[in-house]
Amino acid sequence: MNMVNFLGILDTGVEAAAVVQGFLYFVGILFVLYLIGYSTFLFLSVTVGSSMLYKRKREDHYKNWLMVDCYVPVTIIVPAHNESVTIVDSLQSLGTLEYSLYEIVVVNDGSTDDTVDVVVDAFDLKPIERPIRYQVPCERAEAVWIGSVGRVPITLVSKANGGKSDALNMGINVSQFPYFICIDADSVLQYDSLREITAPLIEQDNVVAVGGLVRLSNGITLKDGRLTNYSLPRKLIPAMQVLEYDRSFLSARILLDQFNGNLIISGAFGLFKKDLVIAVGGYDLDTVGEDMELVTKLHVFCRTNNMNYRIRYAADAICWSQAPETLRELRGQRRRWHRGLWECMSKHWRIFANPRYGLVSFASYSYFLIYELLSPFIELFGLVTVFIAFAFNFINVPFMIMFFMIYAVFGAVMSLTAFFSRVQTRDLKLSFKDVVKAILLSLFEITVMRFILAVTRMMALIGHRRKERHWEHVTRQKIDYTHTGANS
Amino acid sequence: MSVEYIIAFYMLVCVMMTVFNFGFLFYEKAHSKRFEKKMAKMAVSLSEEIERNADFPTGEHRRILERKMRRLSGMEAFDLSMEKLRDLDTEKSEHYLRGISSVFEHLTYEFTGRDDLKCAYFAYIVGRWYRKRPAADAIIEALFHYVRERSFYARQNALESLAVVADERTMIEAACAIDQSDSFHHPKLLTEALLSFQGNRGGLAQEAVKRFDEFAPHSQVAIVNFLRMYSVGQEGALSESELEERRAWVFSKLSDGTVYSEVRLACIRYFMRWPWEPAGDELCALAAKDTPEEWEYAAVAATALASYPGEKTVAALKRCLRSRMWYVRFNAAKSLYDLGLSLETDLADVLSGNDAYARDMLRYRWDYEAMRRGEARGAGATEALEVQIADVAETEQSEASWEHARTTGLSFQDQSLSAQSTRDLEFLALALQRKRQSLASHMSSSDAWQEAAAAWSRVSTSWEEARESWHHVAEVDLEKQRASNETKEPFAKTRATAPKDQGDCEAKGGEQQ
Repeated sequence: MNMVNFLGILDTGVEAAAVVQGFLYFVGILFVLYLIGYSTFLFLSVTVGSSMLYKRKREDHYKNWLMVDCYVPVTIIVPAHNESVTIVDSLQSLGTLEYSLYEIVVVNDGSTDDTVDVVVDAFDLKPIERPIRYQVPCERAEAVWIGSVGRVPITLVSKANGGKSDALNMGINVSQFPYFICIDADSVLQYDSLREITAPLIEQDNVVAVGGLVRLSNGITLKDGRLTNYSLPRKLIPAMQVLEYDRSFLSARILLDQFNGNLIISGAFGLFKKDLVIAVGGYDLDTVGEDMELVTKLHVFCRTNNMNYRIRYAADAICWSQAPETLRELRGQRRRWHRGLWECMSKHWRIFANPRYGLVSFASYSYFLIYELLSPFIELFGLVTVFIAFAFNFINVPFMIMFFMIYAVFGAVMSLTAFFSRVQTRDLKLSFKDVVKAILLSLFEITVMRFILAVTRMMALIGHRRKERHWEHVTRQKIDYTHTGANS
Repeated sequence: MSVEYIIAFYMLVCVMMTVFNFGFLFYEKAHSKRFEKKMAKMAVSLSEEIERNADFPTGEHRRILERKMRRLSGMEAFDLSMEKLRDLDTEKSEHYLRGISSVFEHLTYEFTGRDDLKCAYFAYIVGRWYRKRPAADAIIEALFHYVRERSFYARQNALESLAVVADERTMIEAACAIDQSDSFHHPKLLTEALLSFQGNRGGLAQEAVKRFDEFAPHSQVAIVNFLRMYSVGQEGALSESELEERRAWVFSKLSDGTVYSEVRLACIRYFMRWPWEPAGDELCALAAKDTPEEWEYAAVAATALASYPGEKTVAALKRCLRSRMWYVRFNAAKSLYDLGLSLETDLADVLSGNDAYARDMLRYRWDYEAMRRGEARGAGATEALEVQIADVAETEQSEASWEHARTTGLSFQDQSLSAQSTRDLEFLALALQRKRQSLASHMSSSDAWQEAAAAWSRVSTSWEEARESWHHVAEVDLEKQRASNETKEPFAKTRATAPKDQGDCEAKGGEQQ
């Protein structure tokens, strides 16, 4: 090789390194902005969320709450598919709520176990030929039973399997009250959950939907709708989710609630105005993220029709639901959530950067797009660039490690703040062991689990079109719920 | 360097949040301890003053009380202490409260400029503990100020307090103030406040009617609902002629097509609750409205017609059964049932007609009510049993013994055999559980306890067997089962044999030893 060739190769190498360096510099700036944006949102959501909780606690303490029994009639819809393990406890908890007028509609969505028999036997239901008004699309009913749970009327509808959306739509068709609540069959409500979730309807006249707070029932004991024992779940996977739920459910949704920006109400516990849901066509049968899709649809409908509306979040309306206990089930759940997110956001893409939708577009939609939908790709891309930088020796390793540790500690502190604010404002008693466990879990969640779930969510969209509209298989655990009949 | 500043900023945020988390925890604990001491002091101070000067609290005491109640914690301490003292001696406490009325009047000046939370709490305290009647102007003005200009909870608490302390005219004036306010206040809350008025409700109703047209439509609905729900049997009862006048007034609103639709619907509900013959024809006419714009009148009128038995009503309801609107048909079917008609005779024409929707609706309604009647019978029997159980439990507390346990157990067993449904058995099982718990706390003899525990166990087992039979065999088999049970002597057998499962009774029996 002569000198000219050598210098040529050297020049090429130098140019390539310069290009890579330039690329990495550009990526670095993007990531700094990305992390600043996420950290700012996290900080704001936890700060606003915690301060609203403390404010609410103080208001409750000094009688700034509705003391009259001012109710709106509500239908509680419980879609069920193979829920024989938990459904009786769940329905018993629903029958003892401190609320004046409500009914329960259970929709058996083609269960292959003995869900129907269990419910019919437990509550002595009787078959009846009931006319049903099909206002939103769903499979036809095959059989109907009626009875009561204590003093609360209950209707059980059995139909062919059609998915959760289909079951919810059947519930809407069967319900007789102007508002309905959707709740999972493995969930239990506290004695005051109905009162709390309907309170925004009394406070304001334009509320069309209210989201409740979903907390994890793994590790707690309820008696007659009252929490008698609270501790972190023993298993790692559900325990980690407790912190995650408090951070995202509690904090993010309270922040978004301040400007009517919630794009999602959890399918485990949400209240809706029935006639408006019927007007938008009910739950979408073609999506697995039916809860987010419905709320987004409501935003679109109301804004398109220039309606004065609010979609609220009631942080004191608590529903205790089961979390997946194994990594496999958790990954299945998160895949479904991510698919649902993709379906919803792609269906309602017109919201993006659209002034007509105000902060719902520029804040909520953008947040969900960048920090939820695209975040697995962004974060994994970031990891790849770190490796490239390391390969080209462009990285300051001690600085990177310090940066990562600060990021992890920041995320952990935010999670813990949200968690402790919930514990303190509800006067829950935590053991010292649980406090230490929470601290360690918060670090584990932000460092290890986050990346596992990022990969899971990234893979969720691969082959999603092949996925059927099916219920995820989750192993149900018996709920630690005691009913003494004290409130019957 | 700039990235390091950002990193340093986030580290600072972490430190501050951590300090906040632990700091708040310690603050809450310290605050709780301080409050307990404050409350104890307040309780002592109040009880001493009540003992010494119940009728004429001293000026000095009132000044000290006023000073303490300027702060929220002081007011809270007063509230909790007063609640306990009132339970101990109601009469003296009431005398005392009348004597300290001026304290609340002075505090109104303190709380006028305060934040909404404090105003709402002060309004709550006034409603609870202010006793001077008629209320002083300062109190009324303060509450009016909250009603007009404050937050939702301050408005609501003030409205509730006015329902306690104000007279009829002032209460309606407050309702007007809420109505004219820019802030939304749910009409149901207004109705509830009017219903909770502690003065002359009849006078309140008359005042509301007098000023009805000053209210916005949604408040007019609240007033009509109030007129419907308050009972004329209470204070302020109307004479016959006044009642007739009242109904004629409501009817004038109902039949006036220019009145807001929700008000007219509320009037229909009024005549559902308080039937008035002249309204019957109007209700029949409204039930006949079948257009998409007016179906609500038909639906509510169809329900109201259940209070107007007669041929015209039946004919109107039969027409409603053929309505295009679901709720009109649904309500009409219910009303026809409530009128006591027979499906086979009075409604045979509908059943044999060509309207399948009408037929389905009627059949559903009759089947549904039949099921409810069956459940009500069972529930009624269960309630009677529960009363009996409570009576037995009372005697058991003083004479806990083997014989009583045996007798009670036999009694339960007999009642279980006559249970109308498995539901009754379930309730009885619950009652048994409660009875076991109450007995456990009163058993003094360990031998008697052991034997009673075994008796309960045996009775429970036979109940489970009966329940199984009820589920899976025909009535004839159940009679055989009953006969079989009557020949058994579970308690005699239990004396000789070891119990299968003593459950928590044994654990509690151990504790008794």
